[in-house]
Order: sequence, then structure tokens, then C-alpha cells
Amino acid sequence: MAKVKGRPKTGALFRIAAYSSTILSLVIYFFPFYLLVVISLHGNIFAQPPELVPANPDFSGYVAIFTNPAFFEWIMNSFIYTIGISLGTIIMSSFTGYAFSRLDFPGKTQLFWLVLGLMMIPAVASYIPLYVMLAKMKLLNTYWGIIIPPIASPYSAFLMKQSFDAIPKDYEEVAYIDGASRPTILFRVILPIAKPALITLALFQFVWNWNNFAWPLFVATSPRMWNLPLGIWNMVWSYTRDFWTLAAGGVVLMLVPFVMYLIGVEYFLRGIVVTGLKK
Amino acid sequence: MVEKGKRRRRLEARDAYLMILPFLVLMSVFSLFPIFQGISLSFYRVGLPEDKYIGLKNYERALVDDVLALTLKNTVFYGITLMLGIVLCILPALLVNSVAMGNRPRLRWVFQAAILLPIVISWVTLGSAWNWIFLIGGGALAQTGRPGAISISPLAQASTALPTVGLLTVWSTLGYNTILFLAGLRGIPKVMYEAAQIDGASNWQTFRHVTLPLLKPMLTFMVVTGFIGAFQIFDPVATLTNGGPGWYSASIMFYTVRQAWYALDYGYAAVLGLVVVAIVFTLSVIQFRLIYKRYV
Amino acid sequence: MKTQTLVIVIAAIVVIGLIAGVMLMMQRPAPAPTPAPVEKEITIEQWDGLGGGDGYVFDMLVDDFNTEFKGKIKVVRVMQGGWSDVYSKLAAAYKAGTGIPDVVIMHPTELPIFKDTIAQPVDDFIRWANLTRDMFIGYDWDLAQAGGKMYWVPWDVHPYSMYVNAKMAEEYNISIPKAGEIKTPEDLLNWWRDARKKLPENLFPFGLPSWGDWWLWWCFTPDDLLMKDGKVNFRVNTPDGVYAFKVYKTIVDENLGKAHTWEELAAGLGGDCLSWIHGPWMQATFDKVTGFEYTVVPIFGPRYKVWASGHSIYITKANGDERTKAAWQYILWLLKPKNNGRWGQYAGHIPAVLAAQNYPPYAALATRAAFAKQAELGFKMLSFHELIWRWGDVIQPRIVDVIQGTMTPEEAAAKAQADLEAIMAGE
Repeated sequence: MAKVKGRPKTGALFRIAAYSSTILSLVIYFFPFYLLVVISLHGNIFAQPPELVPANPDFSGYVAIFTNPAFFEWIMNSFIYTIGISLGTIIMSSFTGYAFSRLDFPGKTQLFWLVLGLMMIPAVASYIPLYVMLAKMKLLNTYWGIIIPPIASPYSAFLMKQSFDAIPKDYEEVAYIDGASRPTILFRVILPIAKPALITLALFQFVWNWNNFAWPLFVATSPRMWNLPLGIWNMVWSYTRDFWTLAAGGVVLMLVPFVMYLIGVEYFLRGIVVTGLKK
Repeated sequence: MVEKGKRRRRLEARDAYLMILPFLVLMSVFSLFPIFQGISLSFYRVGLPEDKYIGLKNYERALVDDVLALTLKNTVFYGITLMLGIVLCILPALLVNSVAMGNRPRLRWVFQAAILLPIVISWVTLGSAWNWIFLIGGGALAQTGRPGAISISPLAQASTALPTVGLLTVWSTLGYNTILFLAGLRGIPKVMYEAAQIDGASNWQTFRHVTLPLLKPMLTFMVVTGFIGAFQIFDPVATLTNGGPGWYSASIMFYTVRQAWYALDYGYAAVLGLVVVAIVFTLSVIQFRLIYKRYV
Repeated sequence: MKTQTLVIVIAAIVVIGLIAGVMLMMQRPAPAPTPAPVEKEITIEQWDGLGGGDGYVFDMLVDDFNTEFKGKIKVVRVMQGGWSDVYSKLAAAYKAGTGIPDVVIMHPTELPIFKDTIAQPVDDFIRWANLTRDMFIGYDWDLAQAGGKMYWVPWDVHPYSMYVNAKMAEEYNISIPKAGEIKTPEDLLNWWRDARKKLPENLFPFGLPSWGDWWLWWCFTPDDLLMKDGKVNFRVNTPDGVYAFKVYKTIVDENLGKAHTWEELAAGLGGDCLSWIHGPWMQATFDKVTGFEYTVVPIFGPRYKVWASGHSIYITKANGDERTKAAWQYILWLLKPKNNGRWGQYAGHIPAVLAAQNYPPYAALATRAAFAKQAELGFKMLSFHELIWRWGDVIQPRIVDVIQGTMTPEEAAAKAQADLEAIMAGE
């Protein structure tokens, strides 16, 4: 039975809110997206009145993307980077977040603010030094060079820490007294409760890494390492702008993350049953 | 609470260091080190074959730079707008979480799907799309006989470009913030609500004494990263207006990146980066104190 | 639970896809063993920022070269991102001491930054290839000279010129000027004034760039107001400089233009403007806008010259003599009229090799030929100074101020001049 949490609400007010916000969201969210699809099909949106249903849908943008000889390479790279970086980040930030949330150690506050501070510095400042470093470490234009550096993500560690903070300490005290080791506690007790946060992090990571083209562009010095967003961008971006193929690219790119998001949100809205520890 | 003996404290510290060691190592190598090098470039004019040492000239430039002042002002505006956006998002989160939506899954799916769209579409696409949406809208309005030498596209006028970019940024982060709130709401163990019910608490009391306190960590996270995010805003500015007209919608991040762009002036970009860090760091500490009531 | 199954199914698909992909990649045929060649094939690398349509054309050229020179020279072309990425990566590669390409295609304005490091003198190539000034667009050739040496090989120029909405002109009986008929900004304003009388209220003679576009401002000045004789010499706060700002004000005051963003103008001049002044690269985009027909009108002439930049081929000499000589062969091949001509034909830029401008498929395209004519009428490139972009960033907001009415042209010129001088004072 789908368990819905949160404070129970009286019917009428929330029903009105539910309907009106859904309609509003259709207008300001779906419509721009729909327009994007129309543009990708070369619908003449500048005619008076705009051609909102393309009379002669032109799929050439999509064809150009899918029949590009490098398309399969781009997809492969996209999957490798996305899964590699996301998995690595999730694991690492779970450990790190747990340590900051639950454990006390000398230098904890300072270290925390150092990590946070790193988030604040514009990455552009370290462009040349980082490039030179990667070149000297022979990591440029390699899969490891793309996957390893982003794994230590302050943002993700921060998110996990805050999420763990929200879990009352009693839960693990019991387990600790019973003699469980820290990793066991982390995996058996904390993570299951923090599933919503974990899923959220996974989703954010996945989409961020899937759509990211700036980082692979930085590390790659050869088109063989390009992922899907880069491949599409290269096709459409120049002095001229092929908006139509760009729109098609936008649609193609968003499909996988969109489905993942829908499923993920469903999963943690419906599928979580939190078991309380026996007190 | 169990009193922590010395031995336990040491064990705890050892466990902690072990757990964060990989993170620290990677972070130091790939973040700290290059960033320190990058910051040290603030005393140089970057160039080939060698960087030229110029002492404090970049800092002096920052002090009198009126574009810096303007972009800072713009960024504060973006920050406040984003904050409002975050606070606003508790509503859709509660909505999605509530019985009203829960009993109408199709309604909820539509709503969720809608607000998720901008998260999964990159700004490179969105920027052009919104430009054209305004163009079509302008064309439609023009048909109604509203001429004018200045375009009615809000992105093309100095006075409206900034609020429009701000609004569109909030638009794009709505789904994202809603999900974070949802995760926060869902992360509250059911037993807490049950205990409150047993104690006979009303809805409002439950919200105030159970939900809200347990939402605080997530709220802190959202506010702090939201403000940090405002200072990192780049994509919407670059793709919607390219900072323009002039610098009127430019964020400080946009200005910083532009220093490095065609003139390789990474030195000045580093100074601007320091300005950003100084401001954001101070704000974050304050935010932590206010919302979280502690520092870690 | 349904969603759980769905998740598992998707995860399974992903994993299968990954495995299949890896297997497929490993199965890619290894290069067929060739009999040991007499000379080994030399691979050289070219970096540029040419994406989109420009990139396709260059890929085509590179493929042709590689086919023709198979077994001897192989060119690997890498688009390193946007132009800004190219510059930063070049600088970083130079500092790292590794991974520097052999050939770089950039613009003349990058020379001050890369002179004698990435950009090495090309005089030896010119001698070896037997090239002379009269084979190229003279102005471009001259600009490549610095300190008695030549630093790039001209590849193309791309000046601004005037696009005109042909259908709108015909519908409202507006005559399209011939090449060179419009010689000064005043002539231009007069043509717009005439158009204003004939156009209805909701249409405009000119698509005013909402961001100001200081390259357009550059067109309205008779000389380089920033440098003279190779030295910094700001003359923005002079009658000529003020006049350039005044042109914008006149457009706004007399309702001769409507401000649009770049994306709007790219979508067929915003749908409601008769003309725009921009570069040849817009042709590729305009050709795709449904229902938009345009002509190109070369403007200005002896005194006033439009803005231009160009693409230049730089030789880095970074990887040893063998690769440099291979690069020479490649560049010489590129300069053949057929190849330089195809670049112009498909990408829209004007081939720097004069013989290539007569390449029939290029010359046959009306708008391409118009741009070639524009090059003939004259253009002026930006000042060659490593701070040129900072200077431009100071001029552009003042144009916006004039358009928005927050500054008069005189104030704008004065402030721009003051800011420019402040920049140099801090150097």
C-alpha cells in the first residue's frame, strides 16, 4: 500500500493547490519544452501565426545526430563517464559524510570549512594549473583523467553529511553498543534510512555527469574521448548556430536523465518503508 | 548519552580519518593544489613564454573596477531571487508529498515531470529556446500594434534583462529544490510522526516541532549551496544574454570567466575568485549559525 | 513492486549495453598489417575552434588530404572547443611542455599573445612554397608581418557586410543599393530613412544589436581609433569617435531600428527588420530559416571600412623538423584554389587566396560573391594588442548606454576614453 508521509492535510485547500499548480506547470514548463520539440522538427515558429504543429516535420537534425559515425562512441563514453563518476562520488561521499556527521576528530570543523570553501572558488582560476598537472601526470585525454578528479565532490559530501545529520543518533548507538563496526553501521543502519538522500544524490550525479560537457572538453585533447553532449555541441556550435539540430540534440540528450528522474522520484516517494529500531 | 572515554575518542578519530582519507587525498591533489597555484597567479599577468610578476596590480584594479561592482550587485540580486525560489519550493514539496497528490498519481506525475524538465535540459539548449520564445511572444504582441524602437524582448533591454535571467534561473531550479525538500521530508523516520501522534500533537505542532527541526539540515544545505550557487551562476547568463546588454545581466562568475577567455587574464580572474570566496564564505558561516545554530 | 522491476530492467539494459559496447569496440578491426613502408607515415595535429558547419567543411578537407597523402602524412584535426578553450589549452600545453599541435588555425588578433611561442615565423615556409603577396589578399598579408618576419599564412577573411531581407524589400518597394553605393554611415542612415517612410509601423529598417556590438561601432569609424603606427593611441574621444556613437543614437531617435538579441537576429533578422550588419557566417544559419530570403550588400569604401577578422594558419614548429615539414606540405595543399575555394563555398568565409575566389562553385554563389566584393571594397581588422578584448569590453557597454538613453554620445565617448586610459595606466 503506498504510504504517503508528511502531515495529513485537509482536502479542499490542497486539492485546489494541486490542480492549479499542475495546470500552471503545464504552461510554464511543458510549453517551452514542446516548443523545443517543434524547433527540432523545423517547425516554422516565426510564421504569423506560429506553426505549433509542424506541417512537414523535418527529422534531419535527429538523423544527423544518430547517423554520425562517432555516435556510438559518444554514447559509450557518456555511459562510462556518468556511471564511473557517479558511483565513485556516491561511495566516497557516503563515507566522508558519515565521518563528518557522526564522528568527532581533531580538526573536524576546520576541515569541514576547507571542503566547503573549495566549493566556492570559481574553477576557472585553476584551469591552467590543473591542465598542466594532468598533462604531467599523463592523465590528459584518458578515461582515468576524466573519472577520478571529480569523485572528491565537496557538494556531494556536504549533502550526505546534512542528510545523515537529520537521523537521530539513537539508531546507531544501539548497534555500536552491540559491537557493530562503523562500516557495518553505515551500510546496515544509516544508509537505508537515508535512502531518499542517497537516491537524490544518485540522480543529481547522474544527470550532472551525463549533461556535463565542460569537464570532458577540458580533459580531452582528442574527439575520441567526447561524450554525447560534446559530440552534439560540436555539430551545432560555430560562428553560426544550428538551432534546429541543437534543439534535436537537447531532446535526445534529455531522454535518459528524464526517465531516470521520473523513476527515481517515484521510487523514493512510494517505495520507502522506514523501519524503526526497537527501542 | 554515553560518555566518551579517551580510548573511544581515539578510536573514533582513527575511524574518521580512515573514512575520509581517500576523499582528502583526491581533494588535495586535484582541487587544493591547482587552486592554490591558481590563486597565486593573482600576482601575475599570465602570458607566454612566462607569466609576468606584477605584484598587487590586479588587486588595485579590482578596487576601482566598476564592472566588478555592477556584477556583484547583479549577483546579490540573483542570490536573493534564488533564496526566494528555495523558500517557495517547500510548497510544491509539501504538495507532492501530501495526500491530495498521493491519491491522484497522474496529477502528481504531470506536475513532477513538468518541474523536472529544466533540470535535464542543458542551458545551451534552453538559452536559445527562451530567446526564441520571447521573439515569438514579441511578434505576437507586435501584431496587436505595439511598435517601439526598443525591443520588447525582456532579454534585450538593460532594465529587464537582469530580472528575466533571475526569474528563468529560479524557474529552472524549482524541480531541483523540490526534490531536495522531498528528500528531506522523506528522510524523517516515520516513528517520529507516530510518537507525536501518540503524544496528541496537532498538525501545526507536528510541523513545528517534528518536521521543521528535522528539515533544518536539508534547509541549511539548500540555503548555503543556493547562495554559493548564485555566485557560480554562469550558464543562464551566457546562453540567455551573454551578460548583456553591456554587463547589465552579468554575474560575477560570468565576468570572472570572461577575463580568462580571450586575453588569458587568469591573474585577474584569480583576484575575482578571491572576492567571491571571501563574500560567500562569510555568508555561509552566518547562514550556518542562523539556521543550524552551530558550525558543523 | 512495479517500479523496482522497472529499475532492474533499466539497470540490466545499461549493463548489457555497456558489455556489448566494450565487446564491439574491442572487435574493431586492427589496422591491416601493411608491408613496411619505405617512408613511415608522419602524423601531424591541427587545433582549431571550428565547430558546426565550419567544422564539417574542414573535416572534409582533412579527409581529402589524408586520402591523397595516404601513407605519407596524416592530419589529425581536433576542435578543442570554443575559441577561448583553444587559447587556454594552447597556453597550458605550452606551459606543460607537451601536447602542442603542429598547426593552429586562429585569428590574427591572437598574434600578440602567442608571438614567438606558439606562433613561429613562417618565412621559411613562404620561401619553400614560393608564395608571394600578390597571390593573397594584400591587406591580410601585410598584417602578418611583424618585426620583419611573417607570422601566419592567410587563410580567410570575414568582414561584416549588410544583410537585407529580400522579400521585405520587394514587398515595400525598397530599392537595394548596389555594392559600394553606400560609402559612409550617413549614406546608410539615409537609406534607412527612406526605408522608414515605406515600411509600416511594426517593421524596422535595421536590426539593432541589443548588446551594442562594438564590432559594428568599429565599422562606423574611419580609422583604427585605438592604435596608430603600432603604438597605443586612443582617439575615442574625438569627433570621429563621438560620431560612431551618434549613429546609434540617430537610429534610436528616428525609430530606424529595433533592438534584438543575437539569437533573435539569427532567426531571420528578428522577423521584423529589413537589414542587419554582421559576418559571413550568418549565411549558413539564414539558409536554414524557413521562408527567409536575403541578399548581401557590400557597404562603405575608401574612407570608412567595415570590421573584419579572419582565420590564419599558424605553424608551431613544436614537434621537430620532420613534422614541421609535413605541416608545410599540408598547408601548401590547403592553399590550392580548389581547397581554399571549397572552404569559402561551404563555410561562407572569403578565401584569402585570390585564385580561390575565382573557384567556380564559390564564385557562383551570389551572397558569397558579395562578401568577396566586400573584401575588395575594404575592411579593417581590430588592433593587434593583447589587451584588445579588454578595450572592447569597455567600449561595448557605452554603446548600450547610448542605445538605452542613459548616456549621450559625447559622454559615452568620454567615459570610454577615460576607461581605456585607465587600463593602460594600470599596466
